[in-house]
Amino acid sequence: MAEYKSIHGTKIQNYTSDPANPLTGEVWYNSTSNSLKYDAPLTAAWVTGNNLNTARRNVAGFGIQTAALCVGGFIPPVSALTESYNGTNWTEVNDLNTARDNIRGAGTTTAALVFGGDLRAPAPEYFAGTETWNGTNWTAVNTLNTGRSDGGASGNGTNTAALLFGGTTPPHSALTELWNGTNWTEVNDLNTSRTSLAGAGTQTSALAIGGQPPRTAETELWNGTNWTEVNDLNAARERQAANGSSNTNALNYGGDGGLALTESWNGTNWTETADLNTARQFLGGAGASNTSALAFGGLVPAGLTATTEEFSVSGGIKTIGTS
Amino acid sequence: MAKTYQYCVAENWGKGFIDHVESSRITFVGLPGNVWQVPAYNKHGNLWIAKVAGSVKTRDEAQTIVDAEVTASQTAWDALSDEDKENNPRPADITLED
Repeated sequence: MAEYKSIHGTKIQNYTSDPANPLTGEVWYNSTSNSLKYDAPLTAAWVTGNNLNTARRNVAGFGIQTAALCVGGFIPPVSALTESYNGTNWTEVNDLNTARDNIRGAGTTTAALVFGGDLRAPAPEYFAGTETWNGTNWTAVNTLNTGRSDGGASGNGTNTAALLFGGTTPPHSALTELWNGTNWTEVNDLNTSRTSLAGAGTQTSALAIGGQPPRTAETELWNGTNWTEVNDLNAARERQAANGSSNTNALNYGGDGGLALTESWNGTNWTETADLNTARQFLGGAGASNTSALAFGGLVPAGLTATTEEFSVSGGIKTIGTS
Repeated sequence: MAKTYQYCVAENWGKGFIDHVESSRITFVGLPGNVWQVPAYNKHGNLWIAKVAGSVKTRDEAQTIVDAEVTASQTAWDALSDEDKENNPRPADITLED
C-alpha cells in the first residue's frame, strides 16, 4: 500500500495552526486542536431544496441562499405573490400592490425593491411601477423613467441603491437606470441593447449577462459609471438567472440555450461548473457569490415548476479525527 | 450495448432529495413526470434510487411517461392565445438515451 510520504514526499507535518495555503490532498496534524486535518478538493453541486408554494415563472428573485424573496411572475395570470425563503422553507408573505410578469428586483428579505414588469392586461403593457419592501409590506414609490419588462438588475443591491438595465420597452433596450432611494435616474447605456438578460452585482459593480435577440453570450461589466464589454459566456443564453456580490464574482444558470448549464464568473472569465438537476428557463435566482446560490421556479418542458435548488461548493480544510 | 443511463420515478420532496455528496458524485437529470435519469451500473446511482424509493423504469417505460407529460403540455400550449405563444416556447419532445 502506498504511504503518505511516498505520495507527498514528506511525512505528515505537525503545525500549531492550519497552513494558510495547503495543497489539495495535504494532510497535517494541528497540535493546538489535537486534530488530524486535510485539504479536500472543492466540489460544486446543486442540491434540492423545498418547493415554492406556488409554481410560477418570470419572477423577481434576490437575496442570499438562506434568505431570499421570490416576487410576482406569471402563473397565468400575472402574479402579485411574494414568498420568503429562510434556508429551508418558502413562506407566503404580503402581496405586491400591482401583479406583474417579468419583474426585477434587488435587496434582502427585510429591505427590498422591485421594479418594472409586464402587466399583460391582456396585451403586453410595459410597467414603470416601483415598490419598496420593509420586511412586511410593499409600498409604491417613484416610477422608472421608462417602463419595461425582462431587464437585468443588480440583485445584490438594496432598496436604496439599485440598477436596472436593458429589457423590453419595446423593442429591446440598452437603457440603464439607477435608483438612489428616492428616484430613478438615467445613466449610461449598455453597449448592446437586449432583453431577457440576467444581471448580478450592485449599483456600483454589476454584470449584464446574455439575453436576446439574437440569443447572445455577451457580458458587460458596470463600474458605477460605464458599461464595458468583457469575456463572453461559454454558451449563449437568454431567460436565465444570475447572482453575485459584484462584477468580479457571479454565477449564471439555466435559461434557453443551456437549460441546466451553470457558469461561474471570476472577474475575467466564465467557467462551466455543476449543472442544475432540473433544467429550466424563466427561473428566479438569488445568492451572495459564485459559490452560493438558489434557483427556484421557472418553466420546464412539462410546464411550470415549483422546485428549488441550492448551489454550493464544499471542500477545503476538513478534520479527519481529534485525539 | 451496455446502457449508459437508468431511470426511475420518484417525487422530489425537496431538501435532502438530492444532497451535495450525491450531486457531486453523479449527474442527475430531472425529467417531466417525476422521471429521473442517473448513470447505469453505478453504485451511487443505485444507492440514491434506493434512498428515494424510486420506482425503476426501463428506458421505454420512462419515455412513455415523459411523452405523456410533454404531449399534455404541447396540447395546452397549442390552445394559448397568439400573444401567450409569443412569450412561451412550445414544449419540445424529449428523447431519452439508453
